[in-house]
Amino acid sequence: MTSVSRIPYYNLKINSYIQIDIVGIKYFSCLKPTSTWRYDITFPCCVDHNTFIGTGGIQVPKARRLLSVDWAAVLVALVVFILVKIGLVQNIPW
Amino acid sequence: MSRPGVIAERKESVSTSGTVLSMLFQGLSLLPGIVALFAVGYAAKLISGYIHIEYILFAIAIGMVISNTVGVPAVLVPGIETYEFWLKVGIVFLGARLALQNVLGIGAKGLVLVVLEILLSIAVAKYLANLFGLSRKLGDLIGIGVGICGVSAIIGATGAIRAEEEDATYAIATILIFGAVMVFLYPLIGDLLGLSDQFFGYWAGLSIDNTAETVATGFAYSQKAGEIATITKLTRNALMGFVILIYALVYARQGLTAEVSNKGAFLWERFPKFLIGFLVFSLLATLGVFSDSEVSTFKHLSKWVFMLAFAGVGFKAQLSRMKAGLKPFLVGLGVESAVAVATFVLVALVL
Repeated sequence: MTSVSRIPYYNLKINSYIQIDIVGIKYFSCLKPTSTWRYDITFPCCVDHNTFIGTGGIQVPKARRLLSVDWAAVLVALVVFILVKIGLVQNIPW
Repeated sequence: MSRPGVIAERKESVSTSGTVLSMLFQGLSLLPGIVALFAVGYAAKLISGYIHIEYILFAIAIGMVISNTVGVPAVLVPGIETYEFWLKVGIVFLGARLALQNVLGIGAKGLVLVVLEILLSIAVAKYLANLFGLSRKLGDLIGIGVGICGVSAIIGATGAIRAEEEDATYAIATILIFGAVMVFLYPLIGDLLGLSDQFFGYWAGLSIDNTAETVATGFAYSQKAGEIATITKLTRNALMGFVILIYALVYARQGLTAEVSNKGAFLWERFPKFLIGFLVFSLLATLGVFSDSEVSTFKHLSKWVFMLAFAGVGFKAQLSRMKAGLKPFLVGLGVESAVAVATFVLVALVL
């Protein structure tokens, strides 16, 4: 995160990753690879296509996704597991 | 006059707080849609109390009616898109009530059927795509989508074989439309034919494309059918990386795409990580980490989060997607029908 303020548009990208990776937003908005597309960071299609195009195709070569939907699901399950084990979540009705 | 270092520090601080605020705003923007998912799911649950049909079908139907009539307001869209997240959380929770040996047993039996089903889907899609004059890549995407893992597999394969966005849109539309239809059709067929939970679970897990629709269909039939359908579908999902890798290698060999430099990383990138969470929970259940009361808690929690996911399935089933094109739709219909019949026969032979 320390490099956020040093690179133009980087902040925007990072936010896009957080937003999209946690909840799967705009999965279909950026299917088409472009010349500015970096596949090493984007599977499965997790950057707003308009963001890339709209900012003139700025690359974020070393950016990593902070959390994918899958890992977010595992993390949430782990937190719930701890809450259940310490007795804070119990007797949930259905 | 401030020193450059101080300015940089201030910029850093402003930027970080801006990022936090932005994250907070994004989190808040999800709330309306999540509330809508809950409202639709809970309404379905209440209705099913009066009309004794599984609430899942009502949840999907209500979502479909809304999205295909008045439409989904833009403010709800971000939250509704979280349905896949809830689905995955629910699947991980499901692991708490399934002993690992049962999971592996169902998965092992399902694996043989899954491999046959994938090969069949790809072959039929290739043949029909050729017959209807579709592009090779669109045929492959439909085959992968039906054979493996629906939308995720199509998105993964689109990048790997450098398919066109239009082809991916057609393939995804086809998968989602048939998925929505099957949620209603399969339980009906199951009831008419008097299929056992086990038979129905394997059949649904093998032949329905998207994970959300598979889980919904299985649980719409029965709890046990839902569990078997989920595990069988997870087996298909686990193979996603291998199949896409094979495609990527074939396309690269023909000079259509670049070579895959690191196959291990390629596979790991496409591996559904939530499956690890599911297996860990299942292992903990096997080791007796959960008391009966805790198992019951996770069972009910999984039902609540599945409720959100199933409501989302309905919202996403937009019939306007059929405008994507008649030919891809017909190819999809052919592949889906062939796979449904073939997997039914396979399950009948194996069980």
